Amino acid sequence: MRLKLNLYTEPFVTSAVVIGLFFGLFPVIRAHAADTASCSIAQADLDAIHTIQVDPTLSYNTELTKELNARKALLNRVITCAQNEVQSLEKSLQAVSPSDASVKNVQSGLVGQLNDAENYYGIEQGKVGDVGLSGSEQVARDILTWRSANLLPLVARVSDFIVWSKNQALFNAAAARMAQAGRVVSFLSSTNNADLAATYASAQASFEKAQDENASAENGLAQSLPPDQVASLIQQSLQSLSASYQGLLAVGNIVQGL
Amino acid sequence: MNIFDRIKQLRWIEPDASFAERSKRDIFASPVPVLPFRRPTLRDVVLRIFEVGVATGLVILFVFVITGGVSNLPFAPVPFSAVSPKALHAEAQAVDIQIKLAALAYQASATTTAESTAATTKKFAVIASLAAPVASSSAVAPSSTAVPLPSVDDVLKVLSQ
Repeated sequence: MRLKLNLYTEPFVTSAVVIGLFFGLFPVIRAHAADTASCSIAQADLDAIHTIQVDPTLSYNTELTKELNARKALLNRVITCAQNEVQSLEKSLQAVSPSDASVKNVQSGLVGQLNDAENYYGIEQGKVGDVGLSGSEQVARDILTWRSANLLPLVARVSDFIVWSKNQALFNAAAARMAQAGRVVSFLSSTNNADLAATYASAQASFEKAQDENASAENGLAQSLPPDQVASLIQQSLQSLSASYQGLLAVGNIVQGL
Repeated sequence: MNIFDRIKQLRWIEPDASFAERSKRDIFASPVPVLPFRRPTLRDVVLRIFEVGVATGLVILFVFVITGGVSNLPFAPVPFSAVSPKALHAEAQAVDIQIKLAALAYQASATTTAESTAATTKKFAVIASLAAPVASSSAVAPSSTAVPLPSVDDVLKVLSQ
């Protein structure tokens, strides 16, 4: 015999979970503030390069040297900031604790790719020391292009993974709710209320659709489908889940009216 | 003297000393019955085991009913509270909030391939912040000034020219 406490039957429990999640995020937000505090670039830092370029008192050689030093210092700092971005994202990703082995594999793969991104920044930062003026511009261009082509899709995949993972608690709650509502409808079947049976069947159909879309999104994550495609599946699954709750609410209203 | 005062006086009624003494003697003098020792029969043992078993079973069932542990059993009470609109509304709201977050993620990732590098940081910020509040793309420390601080991509763009 198995002891089972159902956490989804009482609104109080739901509220407690939401509040708990909200306050649970505070340490993470504060940790992020601490991360970014070590990485500060102001508009004045960018303006400093322009100031050197237009300073009439500087000789050509002095201007070049000063500009190169300023550019290199700023490039180093911005690469450090970019590394912080990746590290923060990695922390968010690792904060997810999937129970399923295949989902864990997806998570490990994404963590590996984020580590590769960090390594890329390290390699580019290693180049900064030896480059000249045009070389520093080239490093900045390379990073900019790489971020758009490689990092952004990776960030989107990580985002899909985290959103999908967070959805699973909602799906579990909905599954428990559907099962309980099914027992209520079955108990009341003797009333021969066709409306009740049809409304519950509709809610059940929406929930099954949501589960299918949720499973497709999981497969999409595992197969590294384009992130926008996975995000679309996630969105559809949530819409279907919402529709199933609308159905359950209708069931609840019918039951109250009996 | 009314009836209530008379009734109150009844509290002070006591037996006289000789009656009390006689009663005590009678009680002490009465014989104490001695029950003979009887070996328990098989029937007694079976009955006792049955009694203990039933009592234990009732206690366990009572504990399960209190903790909701019988919700999956066929004889469990029907969970009418599960379809209470109030409880369902709270969960439906949580789903709606998640839909909004997922919509932001979709908008951010749907445009990743079509746009130029200039918008990379902005998208990174949207995706990362909704994925988890810890990840933000801003390259800068929080500031009390109202002037927006440059992002990683803003800085890289300046440095690439």
